[in-house]
Parts: sequence; structure tokens; C-alpha cells
Amino acid sequence: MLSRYRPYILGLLGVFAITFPFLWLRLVPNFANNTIAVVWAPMHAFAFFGDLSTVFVVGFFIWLYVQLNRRFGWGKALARNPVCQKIGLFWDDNWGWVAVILLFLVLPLSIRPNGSEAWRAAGFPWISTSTLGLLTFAGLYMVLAVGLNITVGMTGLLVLGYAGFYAFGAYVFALGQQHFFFPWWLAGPFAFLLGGGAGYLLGLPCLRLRGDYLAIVTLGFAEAFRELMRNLDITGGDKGIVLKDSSIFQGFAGLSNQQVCYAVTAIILAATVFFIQRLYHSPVGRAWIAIRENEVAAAAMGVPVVQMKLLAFSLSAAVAAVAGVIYGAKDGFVSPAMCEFQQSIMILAMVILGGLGNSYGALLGAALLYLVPEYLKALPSMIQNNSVLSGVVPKFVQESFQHLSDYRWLLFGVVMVLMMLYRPQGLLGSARRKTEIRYP
Amino acid sequence: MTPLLETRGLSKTFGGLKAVQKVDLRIEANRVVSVIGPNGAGKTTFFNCVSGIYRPESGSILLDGHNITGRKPHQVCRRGIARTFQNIRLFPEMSVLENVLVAQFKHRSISPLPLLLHSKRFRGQEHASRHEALGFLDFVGLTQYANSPSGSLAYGLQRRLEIARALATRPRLLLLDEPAAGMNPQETVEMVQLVSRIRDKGLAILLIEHHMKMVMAISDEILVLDHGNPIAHGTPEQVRKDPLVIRAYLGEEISE
Repeated sequence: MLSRYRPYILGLLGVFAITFPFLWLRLVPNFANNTIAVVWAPMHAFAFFGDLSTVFVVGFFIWLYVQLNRRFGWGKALARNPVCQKIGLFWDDNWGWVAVILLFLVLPLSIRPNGSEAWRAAGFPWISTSTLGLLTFAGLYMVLAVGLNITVGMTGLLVLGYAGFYAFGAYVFALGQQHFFFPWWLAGPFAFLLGGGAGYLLGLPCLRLRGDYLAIVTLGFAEAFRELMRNLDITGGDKGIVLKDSSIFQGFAGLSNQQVCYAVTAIILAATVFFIQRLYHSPVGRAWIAIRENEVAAAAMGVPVVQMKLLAFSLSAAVAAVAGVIYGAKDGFVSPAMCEFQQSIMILAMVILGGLGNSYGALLGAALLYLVPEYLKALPSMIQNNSVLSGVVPKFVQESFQHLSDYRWLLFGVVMVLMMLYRPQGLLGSARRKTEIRYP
Repeated sequence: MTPLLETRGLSKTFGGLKAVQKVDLRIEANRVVSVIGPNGAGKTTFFNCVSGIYRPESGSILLDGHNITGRKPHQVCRRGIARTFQNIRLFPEMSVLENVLVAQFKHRSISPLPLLLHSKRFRGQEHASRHEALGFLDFVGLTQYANSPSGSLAYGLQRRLEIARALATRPRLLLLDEPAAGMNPQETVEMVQLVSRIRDKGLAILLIEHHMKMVMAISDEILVLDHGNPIAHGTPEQVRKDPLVIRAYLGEEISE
């Protein structure tokens, strides 16, 4: 029993030990007699871990779910439930539902009522508004990574200009709102269809050919789209478009714009993962994997290769366009910088880091690659604002931390090279080979 | 009576190389027709033309009297021709069972709503698919490996899986490209048994093979290709005695 949990216990103790002098204690200088009193002051620790709480909460629920599932066979019991059988829930892909459950569990945690300062004062580790914004962006990147994973991971087609479709969706929303008074909830489905159509038209000529033509064509699309948006009068050029009412979600159920944005992102993310996983566990998903594994054999086994590739690619594009709409609604500002090459590469790296062909890997990759640099960015100010840390951490270290986020691309490259050397299948790898006969 | 498959004057060239020249062949159901010839004789090219991977330069391919020349591989498969590959082309990351499931694509409805919602009807179909796929695995003797990744199977078993996968498309004509290549005598005997069991199910089989014992034992007809030219066509007995065949295989001097 103890030996099984030893690594976790040791890990917790280690975290405690490392953070002990900075976070749990406070040095109080007494100038009268030139002594320093050490005072037990865990508030810093609460504040610090409070901001990380979402990560812990999510981790805890995943752990809890896995344990319950393993110990008591919850998934199986639910699968046998006649109601669940009728509507097809919990059938073959419990993990899709875990994502939904988790999001709705985390949701009330993240969206707190106004006047939550009282809650914080009472010691509850609610996340701050800025963290909520970060998580919303993380959610958007997760949607993008999961969407790109259909094409790159499952079907095995390289796409180098995915951010082009992201920006496409954002501009569809921005222009639609400016000229046709589109509300965001109408722009979403509209962008889904238009994005899918754009992906279809773009894929039509190059998916008939074998080879990585799609990579070049999409790269060209993203660059051409950016240049077009920079040079058209209607799109405001480099300045982009400021949406008429930036707080689009304001006033919805008494929540702030940020909070509703987060909720909408979370729901769209859950729906995306859910439906993509359903497709993955269907003849269409199997056809995609087969095309990735061996195109000639897939065709010879009756899989219409070109149509399936087109479906995968246009679905990817449609998902990106919807993410673009949410971005526009959240930021209230749309600019050509959205589809820079770096963005596309970033999303691609998220998919590769998490594990090609695995939706949950894409989620993990997106969370890591977006949140870690953001935490690095926040690190210097966190040290400065913390009276203990700023005293203990040497000045030159603090100064070098100021520029830490500038080096994130370097770090990023190192991580990628190490990944390719030691774990080319990504963090989670492809879950495909774990699929077994477990149908009734 | 129209034969199941008929090729008329089928030709294919690569640059200046005449890979297949004017091959005429008729296959009926329940028959095994072998295509033999030295390496580079154009046997696999012939298969690739029939299965739609190559587009023949001239000539036509008729299935049940319908012209299927120049159709895409998946359309050819849809009409009832399945094949295996000389250099094994499985989907290595997928499990053995899933390899077979992929081949059922053409029998499955892919209307979006049931797929996205996994409706009761869809689950029924999926269940039936799995049942059927397990049947094919049982037929070739791979049931115990159903859940292991196909890339990890032994070589001989991978060849069997290719056959199971081809059968899952429910073909009327099966093209087997060197199914016994690299097998030991025991495995070859088992392969002969497997092929005759497939024939007994009512399929027509077109076979490329280098194991002469296997070819002679199982074929109803043999077509011999040399440098793309059909040089002999007949029963195993006729082909065995054909001087052109002996020369192509053994060289002029020794054949005397």
C-alpha cells in the first residue's frame, strides 16, 4: 500500500521542502535588537497554489475517475445501464465523457459570483480573472490542437498553415458583425460551414495528388490570407478590426464577459472532443488511420481515399474557424497577426508533443505548450510581488527571469529535439493499439 | 456465359519498358488461376492493373461483362475484387481485428448523425461488423491475436491477416500476390489448404506464386508471363511440358 504511493508522497514532500523557505515561512526582521524572527505564514503558499488550483483539481478528478473506474467498474456499470444504452452514452469511449464531466466540475470553480473578493479573503483558492483569461486561451488552443490532430495525427497529412483557418473564422465573425450584424452565436455555425467549405476547396486540388502538397498549399493559404487582410481596406489592414462591442458576452446570467467566454470555450471544447472521438471510433476514423498507415492498402480495401482526406481536412478547417470566432468574441480584436507562421507551427507542435493521432494527447500538448510559457512570463512579477521570494532570490536571477519568456522558443526547440530523440510517439502516444474487443 | 473477370489485350508500359503486353485472361467463379513467370515478368504489374492501382495503356478489364478499366482502386474493390500485396501492406499501428474492420468500410453506412451520436442502429452495425471480422480471423486462424497490433505479428501470420482483410471486403475475385513467399514447407502446405478453402467458398482466385509445388497442386489454369508477354496458358500439365516455358525458366542450353 505504502510502497505504491511512495512516489506521490515523496513528490509532495519534495514540493513542500523546496517551497518551504519561500512560501510557508516569513522572515520578520526586528531592527530593535537586530534579529530575524521566522514566522509560520502559509498565506503565500495558499495564494501560489490557489492559482495552480485548476491544474490540481483537473488532475485530481482524472485520478479519481480512473480509480473509481478501475476499482468498481463504474464505466462498465454505466454502459450496462439501459438508459445509457439507449442514448449511446458511455458506450465505447468513456474518456470523452470524462472531459465533459471534468469541465462541468471545474466550471463552477472558475466562474465565481461577483464579490468573490470575500471568498478569496476567506481563504478559498479561486482563480483570478487573469488566470481565467489564460485558461480560456488554453481552451482555444486545445480546440485548435484537437482539430488539427484529425488531419495531421489521424489521417497523416501535414498541414503547415492551420492558423490561416483560425484567422479566417475570426474575420468571418468580425466582418459579419460589422456589416451584417452577426451575433457570435450565429457566427459560430456560419464560420463552421464557411471554414469547412474553404478547407474543401483548398484540399480539392492537392489531396488528389500523393505527397505533402497539402503542407505547402496550406502554408501558402495562411500567408496569402494574412497579406490579403493586411492590404484590404475593409479589414482595416495591419490595424485589424476592433469589434463593435468587445464585451459580447457581458451580462449573460450575471456573469462577466471573461467568465462566459470561458464557459463557451469549455463547452465547445467538450463538444469537439466528444464528436471527434465518436468519429474516431467509427468506420470513418478507422479509414483515416488506415490512410495514414498505408494509403495504397486502404484504397485497395475499398476506402475512398480522396474523399476521406477531404473530409478530415475540411473538418479540421471548420473546427479552427469556430475557434477563431471565439477568439474574436473574447479579445474583441481581430488582426492579421493571428495567422502568422509561428502560430501554425505552435499548434502543430502541440499535436506532436502530445502524441500524433491521440485527441487527449493534443489536449495535453496544447495545455503544456500554452500554459508553461505563460507561467514563465508571470514568474518575474510573481517573485517581485512576493516579499519573501524577492528577498531570497538573488537579483541577477530575478533579472534573468525577466527575459525568460524571450527564450521560450529556444526552450521549445530543445524540448522538440529531445522529444524526437527519446519519445517520438509523443507524450501519450497513439491510443489506437489499445482498442480491444469490448463490445457486448 | 460471361466470365467473372476477363482481360482483353491488357498492356502497360513504363517509359520504354513493356511491363505487360496484351494479356488475355478469363476467370470463372470457383477456379484458381495462377500467373507465373521469372522475376520482372510483369505479374505484379498485371495485378496492379486489374486492381486499379495502375491505369493500363490499352486493353480492357471486364468484371461480369462491365468495363472497369481505369476505375480507382476503391471502386474496383467495391465491385468485388480484393487483393493482397507481395510486400505486406498492413496497417501496423492498428490491431489485427481493426485491420479487418477497415476492409468492411464499403458495407457500412457513413451517414453523419448515427456516426456522431453512436445511435443504437450504429452500435448494432458495429457489433455485427466485429462479429463478422472475428469470423474471418477464425477462418484464417488468427482469432487469438485479434487484439494485438498487426505490426507485431510473425511474417507468416501477417500474410494470413492480409488474406482475412481481403476477404472482409466480401469479394468475388481474390488476387493473391505471392501468399507463400518466405514460408517454410509446413506453412506452405497450410497456405495451399487455406487457398483451396477460399475457393470452396465460391470465390475465383488469381494467384501469383513462385512455389511451383503449390502452383501445380492448386491451379486449375496457369498463365505464364515472360518480359510482359503471355507465353503459355493452359492446365498445369500443358504448361509443365511447354518448351517456351522451360526455356524461359531454365535457359536455352539446359532445356534441350
